[in-house]
Amino acid sequence: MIPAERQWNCLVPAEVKNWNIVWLNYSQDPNTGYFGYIDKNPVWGPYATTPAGLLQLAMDGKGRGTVLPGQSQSSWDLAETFLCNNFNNTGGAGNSIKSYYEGLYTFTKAMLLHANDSGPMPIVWLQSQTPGVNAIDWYGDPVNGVARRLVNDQSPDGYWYGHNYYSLQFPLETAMAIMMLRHTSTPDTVTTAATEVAYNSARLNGTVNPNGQAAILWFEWGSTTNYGNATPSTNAGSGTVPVPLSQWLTNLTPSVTYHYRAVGSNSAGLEWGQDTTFNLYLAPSIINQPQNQQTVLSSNVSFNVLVTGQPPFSYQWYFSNTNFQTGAGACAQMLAGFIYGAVVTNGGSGYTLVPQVRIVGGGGSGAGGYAAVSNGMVAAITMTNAGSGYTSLPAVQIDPPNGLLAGQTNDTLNLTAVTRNDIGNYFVVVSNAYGSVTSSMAALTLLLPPVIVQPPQNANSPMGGNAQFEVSVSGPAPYHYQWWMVSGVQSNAIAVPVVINGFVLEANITSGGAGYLAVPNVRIVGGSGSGAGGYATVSNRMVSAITMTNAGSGYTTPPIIQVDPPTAISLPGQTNATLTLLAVTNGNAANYFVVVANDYGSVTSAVATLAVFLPPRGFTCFKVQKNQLTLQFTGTPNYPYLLQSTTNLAPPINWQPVLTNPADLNGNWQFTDTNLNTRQKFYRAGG
Amino acid sequence: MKNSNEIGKITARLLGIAATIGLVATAAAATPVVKIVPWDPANPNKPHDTYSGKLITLKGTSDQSGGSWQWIWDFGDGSSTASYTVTDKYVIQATHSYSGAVGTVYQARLTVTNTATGESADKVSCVRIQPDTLNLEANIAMDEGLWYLHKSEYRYTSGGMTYGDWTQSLYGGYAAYSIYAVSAINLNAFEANGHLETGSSDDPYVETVQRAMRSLFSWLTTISVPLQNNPMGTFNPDGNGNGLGIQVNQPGQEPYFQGGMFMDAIIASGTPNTVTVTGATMSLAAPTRTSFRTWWMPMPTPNMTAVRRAAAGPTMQTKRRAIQQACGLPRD
Repeated sequence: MIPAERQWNCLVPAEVKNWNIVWLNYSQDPNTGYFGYIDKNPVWGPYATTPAGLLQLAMDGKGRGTVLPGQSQSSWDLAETFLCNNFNNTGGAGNSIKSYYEGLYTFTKAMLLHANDSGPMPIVWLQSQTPGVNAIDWYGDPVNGVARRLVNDQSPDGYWYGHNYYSLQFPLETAMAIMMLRHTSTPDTVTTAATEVAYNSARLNGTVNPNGQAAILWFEWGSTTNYGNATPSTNAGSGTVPVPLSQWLTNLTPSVTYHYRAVGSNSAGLEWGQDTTFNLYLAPSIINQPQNQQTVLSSNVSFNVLVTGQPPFSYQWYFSNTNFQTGAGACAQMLAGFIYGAVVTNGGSGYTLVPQVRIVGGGGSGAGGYAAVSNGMVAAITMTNAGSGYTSLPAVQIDPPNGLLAGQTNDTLNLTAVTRNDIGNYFVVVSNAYGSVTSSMAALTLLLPPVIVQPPQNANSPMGGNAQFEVSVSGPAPYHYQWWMVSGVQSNAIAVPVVINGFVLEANITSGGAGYLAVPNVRIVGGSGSGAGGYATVSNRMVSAITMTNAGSGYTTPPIIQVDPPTAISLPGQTNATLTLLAVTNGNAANYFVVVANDYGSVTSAVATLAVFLPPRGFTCFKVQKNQLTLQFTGTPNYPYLLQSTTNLAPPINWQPVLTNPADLNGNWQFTDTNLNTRQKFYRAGG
Repeated sequence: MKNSNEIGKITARLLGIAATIGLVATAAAATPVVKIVPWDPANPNKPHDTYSGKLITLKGTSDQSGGSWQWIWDFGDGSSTASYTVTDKYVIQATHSYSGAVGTVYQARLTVTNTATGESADKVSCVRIQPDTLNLEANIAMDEGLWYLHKSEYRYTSGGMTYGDWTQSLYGGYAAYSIYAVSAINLNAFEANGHLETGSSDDPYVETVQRAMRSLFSWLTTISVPLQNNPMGTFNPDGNGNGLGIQVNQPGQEPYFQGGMFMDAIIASGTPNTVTVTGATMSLAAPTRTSFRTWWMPMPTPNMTAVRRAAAGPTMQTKRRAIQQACGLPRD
């Protein structure tokens, strides 16, 4: 029940413990301290029953110094004294606890599971209350301890036997012996690979399983397996699972191979992990690669690389911009399963370094080659290995061009006010006297405003019809749309003040302007007075009147009336990619544009014009003379109408354009057809 | 319906297929699976420690045995190899004394070969020389003791399930009495050294543990749990009201003494919610093909009595549900 309660949190009911204490009081001999079997009589000797009593006390949480109800001495102390006083007895199972493994196993458990009101407290030293009897290291005493006794008792065949009342219990004794020996194992210590190895420093790693005993870990290290150095120790706790620990070594000698091993220690002794080595880096080795960056237009960006190795280092950053550089292409040449050549089909551009070449696919393997670069282009590919087993042409992959960034020779690459041209991949080559290393690619991506892919298009709609504009964009979503309307013809309104006795009494419109979709602001400025104000009235997109709301005073010299110019107006609720106008009128005839925004900016489309026209009315024709026919109708002044004709109305009708002509200033449209060489002819006109 | 000629053709084809499969199967089965005993199952590459001059056992297994199978232990220190026919696939051992400076690691290699086909497999077992200390001697003693327990497990199959106990004298001695408890404490010894039922299949002891665990759960039976009276009062340990509990089913062999070792072994498994599949139980109120070991569940404040009583339910389903309810666990 003790492990159930302590390991799986299964509560032993209080009535079990309380009742058990009654039994323990009853069964312990207060004179000898031992416990009995079914009363105070131990029957088969006290070395089975007394440890069992201690173990029950451990379950009940009644350990050293605890006096049970109705007793005058500590039950635990009495029993422990008995066992301590007789620990080194000799003889058979009835006389010696070390000759009776079932009792010894229970005793071991009781020592390890000992608990009082303060909780579990394993006992290392077996104590006696008898004057003159020394405490005993019951497990680890090199001569009389349990460990020594068990090791000596083991048969050459691995088992234990003969330490009970039935000598045939080989497996039972063996299992008990193993678990008694197990309880104080040295910490399981493992050396693991060094990390963060630099040119003069490294981190040593290891794990230690304390095996339930408070343990520490340190590392021995040196240039040989004699080590000669030790790190400070680290506390590993007293758990039962491996604990990873590490120590950082600095100021090491470059170019030396170092040996190290982890050392674990607990009360049972030392344990060494296996010898492991690491080599310090002389050539550059990248610790932190440059990282991908994502930002908005015009911001500043940095790429950084961190290397180890023997200084000094030289850096050169490179840029691969696929926006304005093109990769090269080539085609493999195959014969009898071998790739004997590769023909460059496209030399690409922007090659400042020789790119890597890879032969991929085709069912075979082993083919390889290298490129030659000339004038920024891949000029040729030379095969170094024809490979074998190719059943189809493999692809020849040539790395894209990489541009050297002149002057970018530090560990940090700084880009200021980035533009679209900076989008691409960046990498750095780091060199020192012992070699060089190339970093991985780091991508710069920009979070851009939307780009208009398809702007709204001009549209014509008959009066009363529907009109629609549409825009399509690209770039990071989501998008926010707002459609605007602006008049196609715009001019400013002009007004002059009427001043009498220093008061601005009226404003006369001298020009109503054009294109006013909204009422403009009116300001009375200048002059010698102050306080005059008024507002405009708009009719037919013109300023038709200005009403003074305050005549002001003191205008001995007249002011100037400023009328704001016509402006675009936003269309309420028109916030989608498509603008739909229903039952259009002349009031809808205007220019339209849309502003599209995302989280990173906005873009304004080009304007698109909506023309609203009257359908042809009074479409008539009359003969002028032989082979001449005049057609006429009325429509929107100046609006171009299309005339079509056909000779047969039986489907499919083949309408042919005749001409497109605008109506005159009065809306009259007329055309005389002189091409009347067919028996019949039909016409239609439209906007 | 097919006529006799058609049946004959089909039979011939089947025989042809069988012959082909047989050839392939023979070739595939010839590669043995060799395992070596790890000192630390959590760190299988960790060497077995010894001290200079100590006679120790090199320990391995194979999945093949018989006259055409030969094992060779190469001790890795330049001394002559040991070899013999694989007579017990669970026990391929050789004793050897290593000598050398402290820290020296030797790589012993166990090779198992099919002498008929020449196919073979091998595994390396590392041995490290350490200073002779009492602790090291204890470790060696444990290492050798566990090997003895592994060797002496009596392995058998019943109802399609594999079991193991220590009731037969195989490599010296056997369990003379309380044989169920002996299996439990033997199982506990493996578990205490990290060889768990859920361990790596590369660990030869894992199968030993799995067999023993199945045996444990086939040895349980129900008992009635009436009201308990003592001078302090009357207590009802029957949490679910079915009047049943579980005990070790070996009449006359101290069920409480044995039950404690069962509980130790179950708790040492470290997997409280695992269901152990066994063959037929011996005398549960409603025998089933499975038993279980959810007597004790990890929970903040479990009612142990209720859990124990729930485990004594009349059927497997009743038991499982009652335990889940008692422990506040969801139904599965």
